Amino acid sequence: MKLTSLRATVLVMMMALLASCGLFKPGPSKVVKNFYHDVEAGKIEEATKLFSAQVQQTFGSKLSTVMSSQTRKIEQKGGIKSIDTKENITGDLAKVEYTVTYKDGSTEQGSIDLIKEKGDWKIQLGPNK
Amino acid sequence: MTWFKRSLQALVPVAMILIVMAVVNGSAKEEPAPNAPALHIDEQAVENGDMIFRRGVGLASDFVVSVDAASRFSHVGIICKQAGQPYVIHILPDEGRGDDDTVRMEPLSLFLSPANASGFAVCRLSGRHRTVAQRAASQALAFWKKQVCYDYDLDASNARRLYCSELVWQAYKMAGIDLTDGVLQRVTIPFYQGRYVLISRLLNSRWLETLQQQ
Repeated sequence: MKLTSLRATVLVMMMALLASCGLFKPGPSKVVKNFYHDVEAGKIEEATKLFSAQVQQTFGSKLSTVMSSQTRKIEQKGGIKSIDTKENITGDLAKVEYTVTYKDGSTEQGSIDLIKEKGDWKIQLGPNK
Repeated sequence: MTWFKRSLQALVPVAMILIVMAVVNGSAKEEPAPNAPALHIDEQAVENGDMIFRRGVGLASDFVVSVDAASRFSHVGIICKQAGQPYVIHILPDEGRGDDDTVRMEPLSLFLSPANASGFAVCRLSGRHRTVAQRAASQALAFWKKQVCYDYDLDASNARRLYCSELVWQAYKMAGIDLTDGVLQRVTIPFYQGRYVLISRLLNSRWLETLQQQ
């Protein structure tokens, strides 16, 4: 019985170790999807946390204001039906090309740059390079 | 059952550690807004058609066009003198407070008051283009007289509605010079995937020279 308990503890510790290494952290595409779904659900605080520290520091509360207005726009489109993504990772930088399809049939296509900060992928803003 | 119970007991401290880590990592701090310094501008030196960029008191809707110039300037207008006094013709959105969202003309001193600005730059057409600048100022004045409304869709394809950098760009384009040389920029901002007249694009236009800045 002791052996079983020990195994379980080791298993849990290994999972915790892997989690702390970022193995279970969302990749760039997942971050983009989470971002859109957070904005759709009105979870603006959660959504703004997905921006890089530099973006959060530069734009502060403006981010919340802008994203709140998008919650209303998504609602007017009936909500998000699906999000398709294609990601390209180069070291600590990534570009996600995405297509958001809304329930009213409209779509939004674009790309988002992300940067890895402390193991987490974060959204960067700027001109398309 | 006992094995499951013991596994759960083993999970508790690990889960607590992970929760603490998540809370520590997740508590992003926002920098307080810096105090606006006093701005000094030589009002006599500005001329019709000069472009005036300002930093500070950023409005949310200007966020897109100032996205790559955020550390410097977030808004722009055009100088139009009236009875020898410098005014700025510019446009701002209604941020939900019932603000005037049509083209407005304000005294330069008000445009750069500490409540509105923490930095500025004055740019002018370089070379022999003063007549173009004069025409651009007249065009901006026409936008004001027509009370053109703010373009919440940020659509630069026409001048029926305008956003701040578009107002300056359209005024100069109609006067004969395209300050962006026909290149509107795409941005990598969620929800905003069109082409925009970015403030930095105007600021770095090959047609302009900077006269004053603070």
